[in-house]
Amino acid sequence: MITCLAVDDEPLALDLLEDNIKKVPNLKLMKRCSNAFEANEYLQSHQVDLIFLDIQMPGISGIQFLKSLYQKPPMVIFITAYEEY
Amino acid sequence: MSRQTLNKTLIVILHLCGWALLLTVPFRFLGRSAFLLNDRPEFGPEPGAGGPRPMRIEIDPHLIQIESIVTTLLLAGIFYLNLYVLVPRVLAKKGWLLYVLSMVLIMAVYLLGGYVARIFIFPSTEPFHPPVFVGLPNFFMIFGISLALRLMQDRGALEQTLKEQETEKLKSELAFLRSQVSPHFIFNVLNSVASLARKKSDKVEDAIIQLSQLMRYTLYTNQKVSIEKELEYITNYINLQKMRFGTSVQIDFKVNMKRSDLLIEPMLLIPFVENAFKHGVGLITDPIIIILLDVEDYAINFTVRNKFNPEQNETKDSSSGIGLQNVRRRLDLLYKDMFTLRTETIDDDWYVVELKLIAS
Repeated sequence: MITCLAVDDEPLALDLLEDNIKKVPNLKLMKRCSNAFEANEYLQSHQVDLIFLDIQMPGISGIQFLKSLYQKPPMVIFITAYEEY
Repeated sequence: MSRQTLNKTLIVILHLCGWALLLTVPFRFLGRSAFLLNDRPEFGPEPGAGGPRPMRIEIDPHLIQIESIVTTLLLAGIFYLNLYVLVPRVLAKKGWLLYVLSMVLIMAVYLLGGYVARIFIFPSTEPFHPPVFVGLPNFFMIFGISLALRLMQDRGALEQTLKEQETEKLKSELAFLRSQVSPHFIFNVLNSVASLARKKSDKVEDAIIQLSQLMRYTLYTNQKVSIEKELEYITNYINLQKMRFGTSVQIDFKVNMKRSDLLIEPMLLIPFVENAFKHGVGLITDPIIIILLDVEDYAINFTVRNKFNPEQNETKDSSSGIGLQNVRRRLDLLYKDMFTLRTETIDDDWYVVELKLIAS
């Protein structure tokens, strides 16, 4: 079982993500976060194997967020609508 | 008669008048110059010369009239030859050297013809044989005038072409700038719609229709629109954004429309709203966006305020920068001095953009 965290600033997008994760048998969603701040807070006291990360969130980019994580970063899947990435 | 044919007719009449004037000159001054010629001392008796010289010169006025008519016609021919053949074909395409050579050639033919005519057609009683045609100064004058005229014409045509090219360039720049409305937004909205579809929500249909209206506007609008239509577009956009963010963003949209048919450049106001959503939502406790649209008889005031987080780093979204630059460029191109664009930060966490413009 792979534990995961979903981070996206749009509620509808987060809903879709949660539903998709539910459909995959080996994945378990531990927490939904609407911004990088929430995610950081959660990761202070919990550990996850995988993060689904929106790369373009207002305020802080997904990549900057990763760099700010103190512990060894878990695996990450980036979610984006932007071609540049 | 159309304006063009009227212009051309006027020009032809002008040319004809000019030549007619030139033609009649000798007839008016003929009498006088004949007497002046006779009074010249060169034609009087020379002291000590052998043999009597005639005191008066027989000048046949008819002959002079014919000569001058022929000369004028010939000069006219040279004038138009230069205007329509020599300058465009020789000077423009083959350079000055060849042009001067051809001028010399024509001059030679002109002089030679004059001498030949004097000897065989109009023999004169003079011991010297001046050429039939009036001399070189006139030749050069005619040549010079037609050269100048042609050069001026060409210059005017060139300036006209340059102006048209410039206008075309501006048009395509405008079209390009207009087309740069955010495509990412559309993808984000579609993602939201997919989410709604998964939930089998009733809102799917509305969302799709609003998105289609938005895209139709963006793709097909290419000229000034009524402020009413632009308002529809902005409202569509805001509704779709509300759908994405749910109740987490408070949006305050006030409209004062005294006149709904005022024309404005399309998609000029939306970048401010886009920016507000980009920077005003996210790491903010109570995000709020206030939009005010004020339409008067001849002016449009548009203000967007949003709360923002001063600590947040700028996201690497190059398209937001382009948005405001784009707007400024279009404002400069289309409204010149008829607008003011002001941005302001209040209390470190409010961002205000105010656009005032005078519309027609």
